Amino acid sequence: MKKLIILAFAFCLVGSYHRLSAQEATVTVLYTSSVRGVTFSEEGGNEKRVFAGLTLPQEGQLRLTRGNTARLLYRNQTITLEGPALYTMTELRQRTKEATSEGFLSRFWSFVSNSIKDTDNAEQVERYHRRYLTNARAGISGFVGRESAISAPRYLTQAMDSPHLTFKWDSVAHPHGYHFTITKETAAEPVFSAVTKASELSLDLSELLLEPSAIYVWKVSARQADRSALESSMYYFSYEPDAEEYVAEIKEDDDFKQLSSQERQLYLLYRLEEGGLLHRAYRQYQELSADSSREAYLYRKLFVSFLARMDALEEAKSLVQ
Amino acid sequence: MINRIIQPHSLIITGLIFLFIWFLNLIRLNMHYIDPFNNGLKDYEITDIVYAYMEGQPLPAEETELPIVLVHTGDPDRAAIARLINRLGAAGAAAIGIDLFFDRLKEPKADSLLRQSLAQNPSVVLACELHGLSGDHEGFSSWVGVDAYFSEHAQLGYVNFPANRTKVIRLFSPWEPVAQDSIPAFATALLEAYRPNSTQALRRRGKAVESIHFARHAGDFVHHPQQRLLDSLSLDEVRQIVEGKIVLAGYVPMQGRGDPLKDRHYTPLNQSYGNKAIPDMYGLVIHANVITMVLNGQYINTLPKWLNWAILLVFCYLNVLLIHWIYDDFNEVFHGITRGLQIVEFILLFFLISFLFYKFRLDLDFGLGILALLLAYDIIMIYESLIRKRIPAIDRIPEEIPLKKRPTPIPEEEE
Repeated sequence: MKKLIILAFAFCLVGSYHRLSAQEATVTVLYTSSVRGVTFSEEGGNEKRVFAGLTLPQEGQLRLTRGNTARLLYRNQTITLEGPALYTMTELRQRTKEATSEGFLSRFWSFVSNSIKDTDNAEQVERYHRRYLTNARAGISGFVGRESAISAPRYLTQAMDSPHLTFKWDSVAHPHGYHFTITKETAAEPVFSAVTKASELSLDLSELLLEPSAIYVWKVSARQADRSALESSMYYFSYEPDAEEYVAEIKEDDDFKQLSSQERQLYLLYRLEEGGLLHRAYRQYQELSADSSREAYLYRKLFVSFLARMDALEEAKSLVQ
Repeated sequence: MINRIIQPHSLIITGLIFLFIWFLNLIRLNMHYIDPFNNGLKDYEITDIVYAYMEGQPLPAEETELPIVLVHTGDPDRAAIARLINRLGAAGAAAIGIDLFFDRLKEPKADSLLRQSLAQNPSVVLACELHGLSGDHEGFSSWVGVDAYFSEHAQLGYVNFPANRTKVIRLFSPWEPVAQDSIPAFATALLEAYRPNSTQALRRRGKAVESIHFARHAGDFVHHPQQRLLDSLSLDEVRQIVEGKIVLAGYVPMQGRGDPLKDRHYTPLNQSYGNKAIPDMYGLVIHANVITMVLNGQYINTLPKWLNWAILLVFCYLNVLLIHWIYDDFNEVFHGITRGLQIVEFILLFFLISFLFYKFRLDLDFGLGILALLLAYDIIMIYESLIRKRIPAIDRIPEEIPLKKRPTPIPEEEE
């Protein structure tokens, strides 16, 4: 009996060692439809953009904005994701494990049973042709532009640190004004709704009781005389009043301290953009390019480039002029 | 016991079956144009079904390393390719394969930029094509597809694959003799540039051609359009993607985009294994599959020919023995039992071959075995009702081999 207990204990020990030493498979990004619309964030961290070839950490969440797709590889299984959506890594791993639990026997059986079902010959197709009409088509889908009727600058997305914000969009025909809404990503009813004649709207986010770090969507539409509506895309953002801590962390970094004052500004701008604090970066650019010094000229050029990246081409053009 | 297993008539029938298969083979060789069944399935193997319908076995974590990045160049612009090579080199790519032919000089500035980028990045492999098969089929006289202006500064790898008229690519030849030299295939050259000892196992196997283990579709590799690596991502980001990896650049648009026939080929992954289908895999992805196979050591194993033949003969003989026994002892229900037996055996064989390939990548060449199983019934019928009755010499052969009987000991009488 004693020997048996020792043997069982040793077996458990070996088993648990094997389990611990087994390397957890990594999640590799195989493809993203764009380099902007897919981001990853670890708990408490900022969102980083995701592109094919990256290996994602074990914990965190992956966000895809509307119209974006991504394909991941985990344990030799590909997972295709479509936006808009937010996925936790645990959920993705679980989903793949469920998909891979199918063994050879069940694969073989499903092949054989499908083969038995799919015995359609030419005569059957002729006799019951309507059943088979949807199996093939000779033609292609029509092409259509993906852009929305109303576009807005991209710096009004992702993390917003300032409560005072002016939402802007491109002007279109608006006989009944613009209908502007802010909705929590997971909710059906908007938390804020307004109708305005101007193509911008200033708001104090602190008065809207937005939950910090929760995802919100802002959208604008303009109803036309024929009752149709021109609409913008859905712009995702979060209200992050504590973002100053992130900036302070960057400034405390040893590498940052070793830089010259001008390099520090450039580095900070880069980190803000990378960290998803686009509006903060926008304000920083505005501030640095405001005066008429020689440095301001350089910042103005960088600001133009930033605005071009943010799809704010009209604003960039006005700055160049 | 031995005389029950070794039966002369069953041996003759087995011989007849293989003789008949040999005869059928002659017809196939000479008259395949009037043989639509054989022509339609000329390049079909049972293992194709495993590829097309049953693959996707999860791999252990340590086997999922994927050091390959595919880059879609679109319609290639030489100046852009030069920029791409420079950027990949600066980002630390271990080997860069350009699956495009630069066979003529086109525009001096772009050509010069490309040549310069090749000179600066020694890990680039350019695609070329084998040319001029010698009369004895033992080698090639030269390679074509790359102008000497570029080839002076890059390694070359041929992109030819052996395939018959159906153009299904399932084999790859690692090295080929060209003139007095030997040059590597595109994938082999990239492997040697990536990790010089990575082709040792391939060399040790010493096979003139290897079956390709197709483990992945295009969508299972890391994939970028060229423009993204050049303009949309910073050098640091490109480094995160390609550092220490093999980058394959060529025509490989994402699914549903680009030209579905340009540089696309048939492989065993095609779900329409009877042909008449759209080619399923871009050339670049085939190279990527070869590289993955060699790096992971996941070769397709085959039995030695003699062993394969031995198994075939034993299998065929045992079937003949069994069916012959049914013919002799259950003559009234012979047809039903034999046909049922054939169906059951066929399913079991199909399962066994698929399982061996799925689990151990063992490609059991058992086509002849299945044909022999199908023919056994008819040949036994012909033999028993025609041959044996018309040829008395055969009919005089005994049913069992007469063995010398041991003298049975006489029990001692009790006194």
